Amino acid sequence: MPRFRITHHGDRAVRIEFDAAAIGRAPSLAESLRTNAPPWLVDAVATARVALVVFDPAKVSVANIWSTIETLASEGPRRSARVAQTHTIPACYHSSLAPDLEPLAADLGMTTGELIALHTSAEYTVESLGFQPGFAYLAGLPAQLCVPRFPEPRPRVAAGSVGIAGERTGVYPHQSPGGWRLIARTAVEFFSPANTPPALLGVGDTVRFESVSLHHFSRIGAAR
Amino acid sequence: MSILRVIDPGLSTTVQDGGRNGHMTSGVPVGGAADVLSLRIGNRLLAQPDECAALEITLVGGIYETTQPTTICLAGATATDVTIEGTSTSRAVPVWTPTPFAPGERLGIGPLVDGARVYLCIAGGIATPLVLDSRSTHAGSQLGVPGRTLQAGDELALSTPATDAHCHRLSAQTAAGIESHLARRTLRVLPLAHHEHFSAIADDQLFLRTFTISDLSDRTGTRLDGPKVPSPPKLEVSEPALPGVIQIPPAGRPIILGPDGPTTGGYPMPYAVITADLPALAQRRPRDPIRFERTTPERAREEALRVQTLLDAVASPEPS
Repeated sequence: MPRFRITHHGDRAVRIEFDAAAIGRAPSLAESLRTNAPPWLVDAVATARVALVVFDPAKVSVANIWSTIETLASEGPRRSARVAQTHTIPACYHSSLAPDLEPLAADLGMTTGELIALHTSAEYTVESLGFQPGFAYLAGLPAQLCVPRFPEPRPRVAAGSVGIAGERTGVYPHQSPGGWRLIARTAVEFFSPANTPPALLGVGDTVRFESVSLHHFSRIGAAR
Repeated sequence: MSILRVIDPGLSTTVQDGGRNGHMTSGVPVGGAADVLSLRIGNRLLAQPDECAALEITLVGGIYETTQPTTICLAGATATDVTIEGTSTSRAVPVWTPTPFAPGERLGIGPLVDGARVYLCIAGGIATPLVLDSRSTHAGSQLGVPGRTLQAGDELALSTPATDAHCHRLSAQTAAGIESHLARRTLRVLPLAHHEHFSAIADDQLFLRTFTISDLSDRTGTRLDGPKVPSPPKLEVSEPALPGVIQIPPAGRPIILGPDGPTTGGYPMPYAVITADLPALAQRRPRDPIRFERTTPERAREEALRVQTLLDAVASPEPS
């Protein structure tokens, strides 16, 4: 039986934290709640080890929701309706699209080619979504590429920018301010309200980056 | 079709309704009216469903026109100099009061004085297209239509109001109850799981000192100036968080997540503001002082019921 801890998260949500051994249980709990859609459920969301269950206090007592979730959390892993997917993301590692590529490679004492090889060699796992709609925190960045984010965010990061910060990499789906080091750009759409779900990536998915030429990137960009 | 025309959008005006639930897993914030109590009251006074889309006007009003005769109701903060000007007449528009508004007239709303947000509710509601089940604007990802703060020249479609809708009046007693609730400067909070990582000094700072609302606050978060709250070392990874959660970044300046805030928080979060007090938080202006007070889940529940009683004293809800 997985070990977990349930606590209040304000007055209309409960937080369930699973221990490190129960990997995948938090997303699976959130998913099974969303699938069953009890009338009191407002939303259920998870990162790797923490699920948050948002409820309508007018439709359920806290004691009731507590025991429902305790039962669900202690049950064995459910077969998830959404199977973890593998995505290959074509990205253009070119300094005209990625302002930090060359300075970062120089700082790390490697060539841009070596930096690109490292970033494209790794297999990343979606740890959580947040920051912006469709933004996924990808774990699995090679240790040689782990660099702190900028102390002051850039006022404007282009949509599709691939960034790295700390032990993570990720793609900005929307133009926004941002403090990650930008090493590539992709034309893949990571968020579209017309899709169900609107985000391309889900927690637990696997992501790889594939280096494409500037010519290839412009062609995909033009087709969109 | 009837249209609301934006002549001058004020400082930061967006379309907001009750928000979009069920998409946090895609990183989509709930959004919706920051002061959802005022939105609901404005709509109830117009005898329409609580969460009809309205304009959320922040700090400075603006100028608006309509193409069909309609009724409007301002709900929330009081603005200076709110008038409807016709070709020959001009009349004042008090807050919480359904008021007829006709083509050829101009609704002018001056700066807000006793709060940060006022809702311009319109009979029938704003009828821009639903995006992910809501008309709310999330400017950060261009969600909603037009998906940004309004600009001069924008035209917003309006729904045709129910012909049998009879507007309501707010009694002086109910108005006083609502205004005193929205004027709160002491926000009640509940402890979160991360609280155990904070020192007693953090609690002393949070509960014994006064903070002020920073000029940098917006719909993504309310930033607080004032005493620094010692933050524990950074926790492992980010995790889901709801609007109202107080985050403490390493520099010790608290940020209260707003309706458009990120759906996950990477900083330690010791407390969350209770749902009943979020409308009052949304009404605090830059440089307003605020304080925190620790409460219990039972008390939070009683406060939620008290707010519901206030709302039901306005009028019975209309089915959506």
